[in-house]
Order: sequence, then structure tokens, then C-alpha cells
Amino acid sequence: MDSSDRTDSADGTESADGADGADRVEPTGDLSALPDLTELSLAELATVQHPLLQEVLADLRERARRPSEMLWGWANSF
Amino acid sequence: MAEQHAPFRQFIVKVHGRCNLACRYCYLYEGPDDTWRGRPAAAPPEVLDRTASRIAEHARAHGLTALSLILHGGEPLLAGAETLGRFTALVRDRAPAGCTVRAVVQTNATLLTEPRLAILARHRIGVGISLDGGLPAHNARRVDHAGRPSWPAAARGARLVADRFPESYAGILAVVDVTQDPVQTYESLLALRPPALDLLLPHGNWSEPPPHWDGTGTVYGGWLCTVFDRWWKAGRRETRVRLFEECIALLLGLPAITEALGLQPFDAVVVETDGAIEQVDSLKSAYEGAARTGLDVFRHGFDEALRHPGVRARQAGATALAEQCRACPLVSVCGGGHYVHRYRAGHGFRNPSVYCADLQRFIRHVATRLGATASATTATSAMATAVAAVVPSSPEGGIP
Ligand code: SF4
Repeated sequence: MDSSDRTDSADGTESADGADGADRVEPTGDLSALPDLTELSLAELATVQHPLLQEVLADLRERARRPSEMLWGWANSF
Repeated sequence: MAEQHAPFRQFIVKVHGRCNLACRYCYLYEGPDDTWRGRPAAAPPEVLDRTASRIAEHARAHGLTALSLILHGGEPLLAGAETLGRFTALVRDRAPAGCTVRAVVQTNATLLTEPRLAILARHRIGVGISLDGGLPAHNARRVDHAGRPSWPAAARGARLVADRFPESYAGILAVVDVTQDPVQTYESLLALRPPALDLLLPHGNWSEPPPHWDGTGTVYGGWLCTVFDRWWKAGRRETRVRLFEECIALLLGLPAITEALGLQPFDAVVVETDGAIEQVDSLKSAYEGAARTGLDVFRHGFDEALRHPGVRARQAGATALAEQCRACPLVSVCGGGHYVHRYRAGHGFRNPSVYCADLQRFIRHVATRLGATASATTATSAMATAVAAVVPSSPEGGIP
């Protein structure tokens, strides 16, 4: 990247960039709707026979009880 | 209208700015930003002291009941385990009553010894390890400054934590290397017995695409789907995998805690070794100085950083996204992907992720597996019909 490209503002807004300023990146792939799994309640899922999923759901339930303690975010650390 | 800022709750403190390794892909030292050169190697005591006070001040001002202290670098253990312990104790002492400080050191594991781990354990500092797999070949790019492999020392360190200090073991972060077999990579990491794992997509953007990326979603998306299936079909949770579990949470409409997916406001801030307050330094993979805020712990509180336009952009949820992402049916799960992967020189960060096709493929795959598993046992669920109607069967087939 050369330094003349560095016209980006810190808030991520686009800045005019001459020749390819009008270009934008169009998503490709399968952009059809996802199934709406949000309809599934945690209680309903408790009957699902999948031990791994049950362990994940137990953590999610615990997290839902204490939302202010959700602290597992930054990608570059645990 | 008064602006709402989510307070910072993750404080990444660069206790040491240099590394004893020189990983070939490192965004910090091999990337376009070399601001580290002008800073002190180790954070001096006055920087750590001031940082502890600023963190406590922020926690008090925002009534935080928990915060995360991430001891980072460079290689943070170069600062000495005692220094890490003292600093953590200082933050805990000054944090308001009722605020839990969860501390973790993120290390390349090469400097882990029993005495150092004992000090970290005494101070209740968790140990997160950065590795690219559990075999020497997986870590070929993780070399020291003389080009020698770091794997023998890193493996020794990781095993020491697993054997002797399992309660300190926070997990392993691995950068995806698509030239390696996905299942072998996962299983070799599993052999190091991490309680949690995260698979990070390599830094890259539209102007500097990731290695081997082809834009079809096959290379990275396919790799992740293969590991997901190995994890999902194990019959039990062999380890937590952050990317997978957060994807499941988001698909179920629950809040997630990852930077890689979702629309949750991002609440991490960095303090450099000279006390500069910066945005997370993965931004440095985009362009030189991208993480700068012009603030420092001596003259500014973290509230001032909350008002910085770059920080605000990362807290703005869907409104900060590209139009293409806002119109995307996957947006509530994908969230446009990791912020730095959206960068395009001359166009800023308001683009879909360079991993757009990979994320679509991965998210759709997880949705398929989750939906099929749920519908198999909740036969009456209307959702089962919805899944069958909307999601084509997985290219890999064989839904459990
Ligand atoms: S990056 Fe791609 S998949 Fe993700 S929200 Fe944007 S357009 Fe959708």
C-alpha cells in the first residue's frame, strides 16, 4: 500500500479517492435468508439430544443470567 | 440527542512492547505500522501505576461489576512475572468494591516456567497461549529473531500449564493456516488440553488480501466448516471453540462476545508501554498509525477515548456498516466480520469483510447443523420446516 492511499478517516467513513472512488465491493455468494433459529427458546432446546450443544447452551444460559460479566471479547486474547 | 457510549470493559495493557519471537505474519512487527519503535520496551512503573488508576476511575464512573485486564505485548512475560503480578494487584486494589477484575496474560508460551506460572497463579492471572497448531509444522512461521523455530519451547510451556497449572489455563489462540489440514490442526491443538480455543482468520483486507484467499469462501470458509464438523460431531465438548460457540449464540439471537462476529459494541482499549491510549492494535494491520487516538493515561481518562471517532465507529453497531452489509440477511450474525478485515485503501472500513464469502459459508453451515440437530428432536417445531425450506443441504452432506 502506498502512502497516498491513506486517506481514510479513523471513523471508517469513505473518502474520495480519484479513479476508483466510485467502486464498491459487492458481496458474492449465497445471500439468501438464514433460517430463523431465534425462534428456538433455550428451554425448547434443552430437549435436544446433543451433549455438546447442551454444554454450550448451559454456558449461554449462565451468561444470560449475568450479562454484565460477559468479558470474552477481544480476538487477540483469552 | 445525548450520545450513548458503552464503557470500556477490556483493558489491554502492553506491559512489554517487544517480542522474543518474530512470527512471519505478525501484524505488529511485520505489518505497515512501526509506531512500536518509538516506545519504551517495557512499560515503566509510572505508566503501570497511572494505568491502574485510570482503569479504576473508569470502573467507578461506569459502575462496572466486572472488567477484563489483558496483559499483552509484544511478549508480556519479558516484563517479568512479578511485574505482571504487582500490576494486577494494583488494579484489583484500586478497582471499586464489587468489581471483579479478570486478569489474563496472552503469551507465546516460550517463557513459561514453573516458578513464573506459580507467580501468575498466586495472582490469579490466567494464561492464554498463542500457537498455530499443535505440531512443529503448524508453527513453522513462529520463529525467533534468528529464524529458529519456537515450537519446542512453546510446546514445553503449553504442556507445563496443562499438567501443573490447569486452573490457570485460559486457552489457545490459533491463526488459521489453510495450507495445513484443518482436522489435524484442531486435533493437535486439542492434545495440548486447552479449556478453550479460538481460530483467528489471518489479518488481511481488500487492499492486502489474506494469504491463499480467493474470494469464493472455499479456502477459509471451507476450512472452518471442516473443523466445525469435527468439533460438532465429537459427541461431547472436547473444548470450547469461541468462534463456533459465539456463532451459535448469535444464530439463537443471543448476545455474543467476540470481535469476529455480531453487532455488539466493541469495548476494548489499549494502553501502550509509554501510556498512549490506543484503539485495538489489530487496526495496525490496515495502515500506519490507524490505532492512534492522541490520548495518554497521564493527561486523559478513558472516557475521552470513548468519544474518539474511531472508537465510536466500533460502537455504532449496524449504522457503522457498509450499505451492502446493512442489506445483508446474515448481518445479525456476521456483523460485517472483524473490523480490520473490512479495510480498503482509500475507502476506509465501510466495506464488507474481505472474508465475506467465507463468513457466509461458515455461518450458513453452522445454521444448517444447528437447525438440523434441533429439528431432529423437536419434530413439531415450525423451525424445522423453515430450515428445510431455506437452507440447502451442506456441501459436505451428512447432517448428524
Ligand atoms: S461481510 Fe458479507 S456476509 Fe457479512 S454482513 Fe457483510 S455482506 Fe453480509
